[in-house]
Amino acid sequence: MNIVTGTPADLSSEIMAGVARYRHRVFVEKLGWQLRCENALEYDQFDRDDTVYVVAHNADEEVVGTARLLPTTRPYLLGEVFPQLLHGAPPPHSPDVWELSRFAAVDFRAQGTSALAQFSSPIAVGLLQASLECAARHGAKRFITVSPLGVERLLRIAGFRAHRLAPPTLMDGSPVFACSISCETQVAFDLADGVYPLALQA
Amino acid sequence: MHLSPDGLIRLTLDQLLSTSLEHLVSGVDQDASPPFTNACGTQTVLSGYTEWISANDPTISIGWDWHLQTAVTGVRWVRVGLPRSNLMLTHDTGHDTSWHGNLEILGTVVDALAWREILPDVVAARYA
Repeated sequence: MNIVTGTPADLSSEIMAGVARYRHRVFVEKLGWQLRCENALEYDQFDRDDTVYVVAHNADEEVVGTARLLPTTRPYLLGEVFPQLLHGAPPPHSPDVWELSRFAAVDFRAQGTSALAQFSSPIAVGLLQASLECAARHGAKRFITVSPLGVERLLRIAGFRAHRLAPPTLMDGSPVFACSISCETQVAFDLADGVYPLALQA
Repeated sequence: MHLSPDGLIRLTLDQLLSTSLEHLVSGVDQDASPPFTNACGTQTVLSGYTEWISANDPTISIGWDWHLQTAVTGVRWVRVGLPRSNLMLTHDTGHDTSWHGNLEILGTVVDALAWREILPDVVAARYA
C-alpha cells in the first residue's frame, strides 16, 4: 500500500479525481448516503484548497482508502453540520484540533457479506495511522470525527486512544457520536496480526 | 465536575457515585452473530451495547458492550471489555487517573448499575 498526502495543490488532478470517484463509490453507491454529486464524483463544501487528503493506493495504483483532514480553525463538518452531537458544548476551534472525515478503507476486491467485513481491512489501521501522523505534522494533537457508534469499539480494539465528546445521538435509527482521537496514540498491536478495525467517519 | 477543553468531563469518583445515570439506548450487534440457522439445539449468540447518561450538565455519557451467556441454569448478561465514556476520574489532588485505571474503575461503577435488570425488556422492545 502506498500512501500520499497533501492539499489539492500538492496532489495531481488524477489523484484528486480518483479520490472523488472512490468516495462516490463508497459513500453513495455502497452506503447509500444522500449526497449531491455530479458525474459520479463526490465533493462537498469542505473540499477546499486548504483541505488535506490522505490517499492509499494498491500496487495497481487503484485508490483503496481515503481520508480528509480539516483544521477546526476554519469551517468543518462537525461544527457546521452536526453541532448537535456535542450536546451544547462549543465546537473545537484550535490549531491543534483537526477533523477527520470521509474516512474509508474499502477493498472492493474483498469478498464479504456484512458491512463490518467490507470495512474491516488491513488498509484501515495504516490509513488512520498515516492520517494521524499527517495531521500531527500540521500541528494537530488530536482528531475529532463524526462516526457511527460502532467505530468507538473498533478504535479501542485496535489500540487507538479515543473518547467520545458527548452521548451518542440516534440519526435515522442508528447511534452516531462525536469522537476525539489522540494523535499521540500508538497502535498497540502487530499490523500483521490480521485484525483490523472499521474506521469509517462521515 | 467540569468539562475540559479536550472534551473530557473531569470529576472524582465520589462525584460520579453521587450522580444518577439513566438508560439512553441499547442495541444488538448485527455483524457478530454467525449465520442464522434453524437447526434445533443450536446455541444463540447475542451481544450488543448499552448507553447510559446523566441528567445533569455537562452530560455524562458511558457505554459498554455485553453478551448473553447461556448456561444450564439460565442466561446471564455479562459486560464485555471496559466502558467507553467522556469521563476522566481525578484524584483528590486534581490529577488524572491513568487512562487504563480510569476505565477499570468505570467498569466497577457500571457493574453496580441495574442494567442487567432492564436490558431484557429494552432489547426486546427495540427489536420486537
